[in-house]
Amino acid sequence: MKAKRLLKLVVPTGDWLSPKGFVSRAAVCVAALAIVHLLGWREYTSIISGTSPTGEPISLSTALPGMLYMAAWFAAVLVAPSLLIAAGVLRLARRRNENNTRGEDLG
Amino acid sequence: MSRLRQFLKRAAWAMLAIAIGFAIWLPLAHFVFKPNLADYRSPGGIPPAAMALARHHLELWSNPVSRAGEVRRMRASNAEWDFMGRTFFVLALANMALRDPAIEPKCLAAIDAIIDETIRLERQEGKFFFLMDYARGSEFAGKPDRSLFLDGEIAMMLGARRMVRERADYKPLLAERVAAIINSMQSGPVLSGESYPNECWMFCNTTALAALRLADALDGADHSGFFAKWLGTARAKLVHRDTGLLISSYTYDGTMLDGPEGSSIWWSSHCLVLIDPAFARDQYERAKREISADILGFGYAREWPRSWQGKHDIDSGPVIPIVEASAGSSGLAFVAAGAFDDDAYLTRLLTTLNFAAFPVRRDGAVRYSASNQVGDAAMLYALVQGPLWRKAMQKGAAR
Repeated sequence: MKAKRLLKLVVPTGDWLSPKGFVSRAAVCVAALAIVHLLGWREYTSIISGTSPTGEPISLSTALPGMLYMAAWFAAVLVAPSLLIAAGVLRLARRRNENNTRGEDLG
Repeated sequence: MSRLRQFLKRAAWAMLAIAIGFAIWLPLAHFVFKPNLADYRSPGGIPPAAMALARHHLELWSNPVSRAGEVRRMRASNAEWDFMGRTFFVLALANMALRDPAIEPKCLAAIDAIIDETIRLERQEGKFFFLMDYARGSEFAGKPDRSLFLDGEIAMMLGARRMVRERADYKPLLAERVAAIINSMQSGPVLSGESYPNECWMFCNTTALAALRLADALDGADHSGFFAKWLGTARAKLVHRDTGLLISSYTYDGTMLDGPEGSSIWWSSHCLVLIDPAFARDQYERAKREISADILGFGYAREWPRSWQGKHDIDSGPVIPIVEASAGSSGLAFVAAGAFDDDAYLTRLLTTLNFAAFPVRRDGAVRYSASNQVGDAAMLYALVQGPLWRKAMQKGAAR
Protein backbone atom coordinates (compact mmCIF):
# COMPACT_ATOMS: atom_id res chain seq x y z
CA MET A 1 0.00 0.00 0.00
CA LYS A 2 2.84 2.36 0.96
CA ALA A 3 4.71 1.49 -2.24
CA LYS A 4 1.61 2.18 -4.28
CA ARG A 5 1.25 5.60 -2.62
CA LEU A 6 4.92 6.38 -3.28
CA LEU A 7 4.59 5.31 -6.89
CA LYS A 8 1.57 7.58 -7.27
CA LEU A 9 3.65 10.46 -5.96
CA VAL A 10 6.56 9.92 -8.32
CA VAL A 11 4.97 8.69 -11.55
CA PRO A 12 3.13 11.38 -13.52
CA THR A 13 -0.63 10.89 -13.46
CA GLY A 14 -3.53 13.18 -14.20
CA ASP A 15 -2.99 14.73 -10.80
CA TRP A 16 0.52 15.76 -11.86
CA LEU A 17 -0.98 18.58 -13.87
CA SER A 18 -2.57 20.25 -10.86
CA PRO A 19 -1.12 22.75 -8.36
CA LYS A 20 -1.23 20.01 -5.75
CA GLY A 21 0.69 17.72 -8.11
CA PHE A 22 3.39 20.36 -8.56
CA VAL A 23 3.73 20.84 -4.82
CA SER A 24 4.01 17.11 -4.20
CA ARG A 25 6.72 16.76 -6.91
CA ALA A 26 8.62 19.65 -5.36
CA ALA A 27 8.40 17.78 -2.06
CA VAL A 28 9.75 14.65 -3.79
CA CYS A 29 12.78 16.65 -5.01
CA VAL A 30 13.51 17.89 -1.50
CA ALA A 31 12.96 14.44 0.01
CA ALA A 32 15.35 12.91 -2.54
CA LEU A 33 18.02 15.41 -1.51
CA ALA A 34 17.42 14.64 2.16
CA ILE A 35 17.87 10.92 1.47
CA VAL A 36 21.13 11.20 -0.50
CA HIS A 37 22.42 13.71 2.05
CA LEU A 38 21.72 11.34 4.92
CA LEU A 39 23.45 8.59 2.97
CA GLY A 40 26.59 10.77 3.05
CA TRP A 41 26.81 11.09 -0.71
CA ARG A 42 27.75 14.78 -0.57
CA GLU A 43 31.35 13.57 -0.10
CA TYR A 44 31.20 11.84 -3.47
CA THR A 45 30.72 15.14 -5.32
CA SER A 46 34.52 15.45 -5.38
CA ILE A 47 34.27 13.77 -8.78
CA ILE A 48 33.51 17.26 -10.17
CA SER A 49 37.16 18.13 -9.58
CA GLY A 50 38.37 14.75 -10.82
CA THR A 51 39.20 13.68 -7.27
CA SER A 52 38.56 10.15 -6.10
CA PRO A 53 36.06 10.14 -3.22
CA THR A 54 37.57 6.99 -1.75
CA GLY A 55 41.27 7.05 -2.60
CA GLU A 56 40.77 4.33 -5.20
CA PRO A 57 40.71 5.28 -8.89
CA ILE A 58 37.35 6.78 -9.90
CA SER A 59 34.91 4.14 -11.16
CA LEU A 60 31.22 4.03 -11.92
CA SER A 61 30.44 2.86 -8.39
CA THR A 62 32.26 5.83 -6.84
CA ALA A 63 31.01 8.32 -9.43
CA LEU A 64 27.33 7.35 -9.30
CA PRO A 65 26.57 8.53 -5.73
CA GLY A 66 28.17 11.89 -6.53
CA MET A 67 26.18 12.26 -9.73
CA LEU A 68 22.94 11.32 -7.97
CA TYR A 69 23.68 13.79 -5.18
CA MET A 70 24.24 16.56 -7.70
CA ALA A 71 21.06 15.66 -9.58
CA ALA A 72 19.08 15.72 -6.32
CA TRP A 73 20.67 19.02 -5.28
CA PHE A 74 19.92 20.77 -8.56
CA ALA A 75 16.40 19.35 -8.51
CA ALA A 76 15.86 20.65 -4.97
CA VAL A 77 17.30 24.14 -5.50
CA LEU A 78 16.34 24.80 -9.11
CA VAL A 79 13.38 22.59 -10.01
CA ALA A 80 11.46 22.48 -6.72
CA PRO A 81 11.14 26.28 -6.28
CA SER A 82 10.15 26.59 -9.95
CA LEU A 83 7.43 23.97 -9.41
CA LEU A 84 6.14 25.85 -6.36
CA ILE A 85 5.92 29.05 -8.38
CA ALA A 86 4.25 27.07 -11.17
CA ALA A 87 1.73 25.72 -8.65
CA GLY A 88 0.86 29.27 -7.61
CA VAL A 89 0.57 30.42 -11.22
CA LEU A 90 -1.64 27.47 -12.16
CA ARG A 91 -3.85 27.99 -9.14
CA LEU A 92 -4.34 31.65 -10.01
CA ALA A 93 -5.06 30.80 -13.64
CA ARG A 94 -7.64 28.18 -12.65
CA ARG A 95 -9.33 30.47 -10.19
CA ARG A 96 -9.54 33.16 -12.83
CA ASN A 97 -10.91 30.65 -15.32
CA GLU A 98 -13.53 29.49 -12.82
CA ASN A 99 -14.58 33.06 -12.07
CA ASN A 100 -14.91 33.79 -15.79
CA THR A 101 -16.99 30.67 -16.33
CA ARG A 102 -19.19 31.54 -13.35
CA GLY A 103 -19.55 35.09 -14.71
CA GLU A 104 -20.60 33.77 -18.11
CA ASP A 105 -23.11 31.44 -16.43
CA LEU A 106 -24.59 34.30 -14.40
CA GLY A 107 -24.67 36.55 -17.46
CA MET B 1 -15.30 18.53 -24.86
CA SER B 2 -13.63 15.14 -25.32
CA ARG B 3 -11.51 13.79 -22.47
CA LEU B 4 -8.41 13.95 -24.64
CA ARG B 5 -8.99 17.59 -25.46
CA GLN B 6 -9.59 18.35 -21.83
CA PHE B 7 -6.37 16.58 -20.87
CA LEU B 8 -4.38 18.41 -23.54
CA LYS B 9 -5.76 21.73 -22.37
CA ARG B 10 -4.79 20.94 -18.77
CA ALA B 11 -1.33 19.80 -19.90
CA ALA B 12 -0.80 22.97 -21.92
CA TRP B 13 -1.73 25.13 -18.91
CA ALA B 14 0.54 23.07 -16.68
CA MET B 15 3.50 23.40 -19.07
CA LEU B 16 2.92 27.12 -19.37
CA ALA B 17 2.85 27.42 -15.57
CA ILE B 18 6.09 25.43 -15.31
CA ALA B 19 7.72 27.62 -17.94
CA ILE B 20 6.65 30.71 -15.99
CA GLY B 21 7.96 29.11 -12.78
CA PHE B 22 11.40 28.54 -14.30
CA ALA B 23 11.42 31.96 -15.96
CA ILE B 24 10.79 33.59 -12.59
CA TRP B 25 13.02 31.40 -10.41
CA LEU B 26 16.16 30.78 -12.46
CA PRO B 27 17.18 34.45 -12.80
CA LEU B 28 16.57 34.89 -9.06
CA ALA B 29 18.30 31.72 -7.80
CA HIS B 30 21.76 33.28 -7.69
CA PHE B 31 20.61 35.74 -5.02
CA VAL B 32 20.19 32.80 -2.62
CA PHE B 33 23.87 31.89 -3.02
CA LYS B 34 25.34 35.36 -3.52
CA PRO B 35 27.87 36.00 -0.75
CA ASN B 36 28.55 39.09 1.26
CA LEU B 37 31.95 39.87 -0.26
CA ALA B 38 33.22 41.34 3.01
CA ASP B 39 33.07 37.84 4.53
CA TYR B 40 35.51 36.62 1.87
CA ARG B 41 37.75 39.54 1.13
CA SER B 42 39.10 42.41 3.15
CA PRO B 43 41.98 44.83 2.67
CA GLY B 44 43.32 44.15 6.19
CA GLY B 45 42.92 41.31 8.66
CA ILE B 46 41.65 37.91 7.69
CA PRO B 47 38.12 37.62 6.35
CA PRO B 48 35.94 35.12 8.27
CA ALA B 49 35.41 32.77 5.31
CA ALA B 50 39.18 32.56 4.77
CA MET B 51 39.71 31.85 8.45
CA ALA B 52 37.19 29.01 8.30
CA LEU B 53 39.00 27.51 5.29
CA ALA B 54 42.36 27.94 7.01
CA ARG B 55 41.05 26.13 10.10
CA HIS B 56 40.27 23.09 7.99
CA HIS B 57 43.77 23.07 6.47
CA LEU B 58 45.51 23.57 9.79
CA GLU B 59 43.43 20.70 11.16
CA LEU B 60 44.54 18.55 8.22
CA TRP B 61 48.21 19.36 8.83
CA SER B 62 47.92 18.62 12.54
CA ASN B 63 46.08 15.33 12.09
CA PRO B 64 48.23 12.78 10.24
CA VAL B 65 45.32 10.37 9.75
CA SER B 66 42.98 12.81 8.01
CA ARG B 67 45.86 14.27 6.01
CA ALA B 68 46.94 10.82 4.82
CA GLY B 69 43.37 10.18 3.68
CA GLU B 70 43.19 13.48 1.81
CA VAL B 71 46.60 12.99 0.20
CA ARG B 72 45.63 9.46 -0.86
CA ARG B 73 42.45 10.77 -2.52
CA MET B 74 44.41 13.37 -4.47
CA ARG B 75 47.32 11.14 -5.40
CA ALA B 76 44.88 8.57 -6.79
CA SER B 77 44.16 11.16 -9.48
CA ASN B 78 47.31 13.26 -9.65
CA ALA B 79 50.49 13.29 -7.54
CA GLU B 80 51.07 16.93 -8.54
CA TRP B 81 48.07 18.01 -6.48
CA ASP B 82 49.74 16.78 -3.31
CA PHE B 83 52.65 19.12 -4.11
CA MET B 84 50.67 22.10 -5.34
CA GLY B 85 48.35 21.94 -2.34
CA ARG B 86 51.42 22.56 -0.21
CA THR B 87 52.51 25.58 -2.26
CA PHE B 88 49.08 27.22 -2.22
CA PHE B 89 48.71 26.64 1.50
CA VAL B 90 52.18 28.01 2.29
CA LEU B 91 51.45 31.10 0.19
CA ALA B 92 48.14 31.53 1.98
CA LEU B 93 49.74 31.17 5.41
CA ALA B 94 52.45 33.68 4.53
CA ASN B 95 49.81 36.21 3.52
CA MET B 96 47.79 35.49 6.65
CA ALA B 97 50.86 36.04 8.82
CA LEU B 98 51.49 39.37 7.10
CA ARG B 99 47.85 40.34 7.53
CA ASP B 100 47.65 39.45 11.21
CA PRO B 101 50.92 39.40 13.20
CA ALA B 102 49.12 37.76 16.13
CA ILE B 103 48.87 34.49 14.21
CA GLU B 104 52.35 34.71 12.70
CA PRO B 105 53.94 32.08 15.02
CA LYS B 106 51.20 29.55 14.23
CA CYS B 107 51.45 30.25 10.48
CA LEU B 108 55.24 29.99 10.48
CA ALA B 109 55.17 26.71 12.39
CA ALA B 110 52.81 25.25 9.77
CA ILE B 111 54.86 26.69 6.88
CA ASP B 112 58.10 25.23 8.24
CA ALA B 113 56.52 21.82 8.77
CA ILE B 114 55.24 21.80 5.18
CA ILE B 115 58.51 22.99 3.65
CA ASP B 116 60.63 20.55 5.65
CA GLU B 117 58.41 17.60 4.81
CA THR B 118 58.23 18.51 1.12
CA ILE B 119 62.00 18.80 0.76
CA ARG B 120 62.49 15.60 2.74
CA LEU B 121 60.03 13.71 0.50
CA GLU B 122 61.69 15.06 -2.65
CA ARG B 123 65.13 13.96 -1.40
CA GLN B 124 63.95 10.63 -0.08
CA GLU B 125 61.59 9.57 -2.87
CA GLY B 126 63.19 11.40 -5.78
CA LYS B 127 61.82 13.98 -8.19
CA PHE B 128 59.19 11.64 -9.62
CA PHE B 129 57.32 11.46 -6.32
CA PHE B 130 55.40 14.68 -7.02
CA LEU B 131 55.20 14.19 -10.80
CA MET B 132 52.80 12.18 -12.89
CA ASP B 133 54.03 8.79 -14.02
CA TYR B 134 54.69 9.76 -17.62
CA ALA B 135 57.66 11.84 -16.41
CA ARG B 136 59.61 8.56 -16.23
CA GLY B 137 59.03 7.85 -19.90
CA SER B 138 61.86 9.89 -21.42
CA GLU B 139 64.85 12.14 -20.80
CA PHE B 140 64.74 15.86 -20.04
CA ALA B 141 66.21 17.87 -22.93
CA GLY B 142 67.96 20.33 -20.61
CA LYS B 143 70.74 19.26 -18.29
CA PRO B 144 70.86 18.57 -15.42
CA ASP B 145 67.46 16.95 -15.66
CA ARG B 146 65.49 18.81 -13.03
CA SER B 147 61.81 19.67 -13.04
CA LEU B 148 61.09 23.40 -12.96
CA PHE B 149 57.72 22.49 -11.48
CA LEU B 150 59.48 21.35 -8.30
CA ASP B 151 62.27 23.94 -8.19
CA GLY B 152 59.92 26.86 -8.88
CA GLU B 153 57.32 26.00 -6.27
CA ILE B 154 59.84 25.01 -3.59
CA ALA B 155 61.66 28.30 -4.21
CA MET B 156 58.32 30.08 -3.95
CA MET B 157 57.58 28.42 -0.59
CA LEU B 158 61.04 29.23 0.78
CA GLY B 159 60.83 32.81 -0.46
CA ALA B 160 57.35 33.34 0.98
CA ARG B 161 58.48 32.05 4.36
CA ARG B 162 61.50 34.30 4.44
CA MET B 163 59.43 37.31 3.38
CA VAL B 164 57.39 36.89 6.55
CA ARG B 165 60.38 36.33 8.80
CA GLU B 166 63.98 35.44 8.00
CA ARG B 167 65.14 31.93 8.69
CA ALA B 168 68.87 31.62 8.14
CA ASP B 169 68.96 27.94 7.23
CA TYR B 170 66.44 28.50 4.42
CA LYS B 171 68.69 31.09 2.73
CA PRO B 172 71.10 28.56 1.15
CA LEU B 173 68.16 26.31 0.23
CA LEU B 174 66.56 29.18 -1.66
CA ALA B 175 69.87 30.11 -3.30
CA GLU B 176 70.25 26.51 -4.51
CA ARG B 177 66.77 26.55 -6.09
CA VAL B 178 67.34 29.98 -7.64
CA ALA B 179 70.53 28.69 -9.27
CA ALA B 180 68.68 25.66 -10.59
CA ILE B 181 65.85 27.81 -11.97
CA ILE B 182 68.22 30.22 -13.70
CA ASN B 183 70.27 27.40 -15.15
CA SER B 184 67.20 25.60 -16.41
CA MET B 185 65.48 28.66 -17.92
CA GLN B 186 68.50 30.49 -19.30
CA SER B 187 69.84 27.50 -21.15
CA GLY B 188 66.50 26.81 -22.87
CA PRO B 189 65.99 28.03 -26.47
CA VAL B 190 62.90 30.02 -25.39
CA LEU B 191 64.20 30.82 -21.89
CA SER B 192 61.90 28.24 -20.36
CA GLY B 193 62.64 25.25 -18.19
CA GLU B 194 61.00 21.85 -18.48
CA SER B 195 58.54 20.53 -15.92
CA TYR B 196 58.38 17.16 -17.67
CA PRO B 197 60.72 15.76 -20.30
CA ASN B 198 60.51 18.08 -23.32
CA GLU B 199 57.46 19.81 -21.81
CA CYS B 200 57.64 23.39 -20.61
CA TRP B 201 54.56 24.68 -18.77
CA MET B 202 53.70 28.37 -18.60
CA PHE B 203 52.27 27.80 -15.12
CA CYS B 204 55.63 26.55 -13.84
CA ASN B 205 57.77 29.09 -15.71
CA THR B 206 55.78 32.06 -14.44
CA THR B 207 55.82 30.58 -10.93
CA ALA B 208 59.61 30.31 -11.21
CA LEU B 209 59.82 33.95 -12.35
CA ALA B 210 57.76 35.08 -9.36
CA ALA B 211 59.99 33.00 -7.06
CA LEU B 212 63.06 34.69 -8.55
CA ARG B 213 61.45 38.04 -7.84
CA LEU B 214 60.89 37.07 -4.20
CA ALA B 215 64.52 35.93 -3.97
CA ASP B 216 65.70 39.24 -5.49
CA ALA B 217 63.71 41.17 -2.90
CA LEU B 218 65.18 39.05 -0.12
CA ASP B 219 68.81 38.68 -1.11
CA GLY B 220 69.49 41.74 -3.19
CA ALA B 221 70.15 40.02 -6.51
CA ASP B 222 68.71 41.58 -9.67
CA HIS B 223 67.23 39.40 -12.39
CA SER B 224 65.41 42.27 -14.09
CA GLY B 225 67.53 41.82 -17.24
CA PHE B 226 66.49 38.18 -17.45
CA PHE B 227 62.85 39.10 -16.83
CA ALA B 228 62.95 41.57 -19.72
CA LYS B 229 64.51 38.97 -22.03
CA TRP B 230 61.96 36.34 -20.95
CA LEU B 231 59.05 38.72 -21.60
CA GLY B 232 60.43 39.58 -25.03
CA THR B 233 60.74 35.91 -25.94
CA ALA B 234 57.30 35.10 -24.55
CA ARG B 235 55.65 37.92 -26.50
CA ALA B 236 57.37 36.82 -29.69
CA LYS B 237 57.12 33.05 -29.44
CA LEU B 238 54.78 31.92 -26.66
CA VAL B 239 51.61 33.86 -27.38
CA HIS B 240 48.59 32.34 -29.09
CA ARG B 241 47.94 34.31 -32.27
CA ASP B 242 44.11 34.45 -32.14
CA THR B 243 43.69 35.38 -28.51
CA GLY B 244 46.95 37.09 -27.55
CA LEU B 245 47.05 34.79 -24.51
CA LEU B 246 50.17 32.96 -23.36
CA ILE B 247 50.06 29.33 -24.39
CA SER B 248 50.03 26.78 -21.62
CA SER B 249 52.60 24.17 -22.71
CA TYR B 250 55.33 23.86 -25.30
CA THR B 251 58.36 21.79 -26.12
CA TYR B 252 61.85 22.75 -24.98
CA ASP B 253 62.43 24.54 -28.30
CA GLY B 254 59.15 26.48 -28.02
CA THR B 255 56.79 24.49 -30.26
CA MET B 256 53.26 24.80 -28.93
CA LEU B 257 51.77 21.68 -27.33
CA ASP B 258 48.69 23.24 -25.75
CA GLY B 259 47.25 26.65 -26.51
CA PRO B 260 45.85 28.92 -23.81
CA GLU B 261 44.20 27.09 -20.91
CA GLY B 262 42.31 28.45 -17.94
CA SER B 263 44.15 26.16 -15.54
CA SER B 264 47.35 27.93 -16.59
CA ILE B 265 46.64 31.51 -17.63
CA TRP B 266 44.82 32.69 -14.50
CA TRP B 267 47.74 31.69 -12.30
CA SER B 268 50.35 32.93 -14.76
CA SER B 269 48.78 36.37 -14.98
CA HIS B 270 48.84 36.53 -11.17
CA CYS B 271 52.56 35.58 -11.04
CA LEU B 272 53.43 38.04 -13.81
CA VAL B 273 52.18 40.90 -11.63
CA LEU B 274 55.63 40.71 -9.98
CA ILE B 275 57.42 40.82 -13.33
CA ASP B 276 55.44 43.22 -15.51
CA PRO B 277 52.15 44.45 -14.01
CA ALA B 278 50.87 45.95 -17.28
CA PHE B 279 51.48 42.75 -19.26
CA ALA B 280 49.93 40.73 -16.42
CA ARG B 281 46.78 42.84 -16.45
CA ASP B 282 46.56 42.61 -20.23
CA GLN B 283 46.72 38.80 -19.94
CA TYR B 284 44.03 38.85 -17.24
CA GLU B 285 41.71 41.03 -19.31
CA ARG B 286 42.18 38.80 -22.34
CA ALA B 287 41.61 35.67 -20.26
CA LYS B 288 38.47 37.17 -18.84
CA ARG B 289 37.20 37.99 -22.30
CA GLU B 290 38.06 34.58 -23.71
CA ILE B 291 37.60 32.16 -20.84
CA SER B 292 35.32 33.57 -18.14
CA ALA B 293 31.61 32.84 -18.35
CA ASP B 294 28.41 33.70 -16.57
CA ILE B 295 25.01 32.10 -16.58
CA LEU B 296 22.18 33.83 -14.72
CA GLY B 297 24.55 35.40 -12.18
CA PHE B 298 26.65 32.26 -11.65
CA GLY B 299 30.24 32.91 -12.71
CA TYR B 300 32.71 30.25 -13.76
CA ALA B 301 35.60 29.72 -16.15
CA ARG B 302 36.02 27.48 -19.15
CA GLU B 303 39.28 25.66 -19.73
CA TRP B 304 39.75 26.77 -23.33
CA PRO B 305 38.94 29.91 -25.30
CA ARG B 306 36.40 29.55 -28.11
CA SER B 307 39.10 29.91 -30.74
CA TRP B 308 41.16 26.99 -29.48
CA GLN B 309 39.86 23.67 -28.24
CA GLY B 310 42.43 21.66 -26.34
CA LYS B 311 42.48 18.07 -25.35
CA HIS B 312 41.15 17.21 -21.95
CA ASP B 313 43.82 16.60 -19.31
CA ILE B 314 43.95 16.02 -15.58
CA ASP B 315 44.63 19.71 -14.82
CA SER B 316 41.32 20.75 -16.32
CA GLY B 317 39.32 18.37 -14.17
CA PRO B 318 36.18 17.05 -15.79
CA VAL B 319 34.71 19.70 -18.08
CA ILE B 320 30.93 19.98 -17.69
CA PRO B 321 29.40 19.60 -21.16
CA ILE B 322 27.37 22.39 -22.83
CA VAL B 323 28.39 25.11 -20.33
CA GLU B 324 32.04 23.92 -20.57
CA ALA B 325 32.73 24.76 -16.92
CA SER B 326 36.10 23.53 -15.68
CA ALA B 327 36.80 23.04 -11.99
CA GLY B 328 40.55 23.59 -12.46
CA SER B 329 40.14 26.78 -14.44
CA SER B 330 37.35 28.13 -12.21
CA GLY B 331 39.42 27.47 -9.07
CA LEU B 332 42.36 29.45 -10.37
CA ALA B 333 40.08 32.18 -11.71
CA PHE B 334 39.46 33.06 -8.04
CA VAL B 335 43.18 33.76 -7.63
CA ALA B 336 43.31 36.00 -10.69
CA ALA B 337 40.06 37.83 -9.91
CA GLY B 338 41.40 38.54 -6.41
CA ALA B 339 44.81 39.59 -7.71
CA PHE B 340 43.31 42.11 -10.13
CA ASP B 341 40.66 43.37 -7.67
CA ASP B 342 37.85 42.24 -9.94
CA ASP B 343 35.19 42.16 -7.23
CA ALA B 344 32.31 41.72 -9.67
CA TYR B 345 33.75 38.52 -11.19
CA LEU B 346 34.92 37.31 -7.78
CA THR B 347 31.39 37.70 -6.40
CA ARG B 348 29.92 35.71 -9.30
CA LEU B 349 32.56 32.99 -8.82
CA LEU B 350 31.80 32.84 -5.10
CA THR B 351 28.08 32.60 -5.90
CA THR B 352 28.81 29.48 -7.96
CA LEU B 353 31.09 28.16 -5.24
CA ASN B 354 28.28 28.38 -2.70
CA PHE B 355 25.84 26.86 -5.18
CA ALA B 356 27.79 24.00 -6.71
CA ALA B 357 30.89 23.23 -4.63
CA PHE B 358 28.94 21.77 -1.69
CA PRO B 359 30.51 23.40 1.37
CA VAL B 360 30.78 21.30 4.51
CA ARG B 361 30.93 23.33 7.74
CA ARG B 362 32.03 21.81 11.02
CA ASP B 363 33.37 23.37 14.23
CA GLY B 364 34.06 26.71 12.59
CA ALA B 365 35.98 25.10 9.71
CA VAL B 366 34.84 24.79 6.12
CA ARG B 367 35.84 22.70 3.15
CA TYR B 368 34.23 22.07 -0.21
CA SER B 369 33.13 18.53 -1.01
CA ALA B 370 33.33 19.08 -4.75
CA SER B 371 36.92 20.21 -4.36
CA ASN B 372 40.00 18.71 -2.75
CA GLN B 373 42.87 19.95 -0.62
CA VAL B 374 44.65 21.65 -3.53
CA GLY B 375 41.44 23.35 -4.69
CA ASP B 376 40.56 24.53 -1.19
CA ALA B 377 44.12 25.76 -0.62
CA ALA B 378 44.04 27.73 -3.88
CA MET B 379 40.72 29.19 -2.76
CA LEU B 380 42.18 30.17 0.61
CA TYR B 381 45.14 31.77 -1.11
CA ALA B 382 42.81 33.68 -3.42
CA LEU B 383 41.05 35.20 -0.42
CA VAL B 384 44.10 36.30 1.56
CA GLN B 385 46.62 37.12 -1.19
CA GLY B 386 48.01 40.59 -1.57
CA PRO B 387 50.43 41.43 1.27
CA LEU B 388 53.20 39.08 0.09
CA TRP B 389 53.25 40.41 -3.46
CA ARG B 390 53.02 43.99 -2.19
CA LYS B 391 55.95 43.46 0.17
CA ALA B 392 58.06 41.94 -2.61
CA MET B 393 57.29 44.87 -4.90
CA GLN B 394 58.02 47.42 -2.18
CA LYS B 395 61.32 45.74 -1.30
CA GLY B 396 62.27 45.62 -4.98
CA ALA B 397 61.32 49.28 -5.49
CA ALA B 398 63.28 50.33 -2.37
CA ARG B 399 66.40 48.78 -3.89
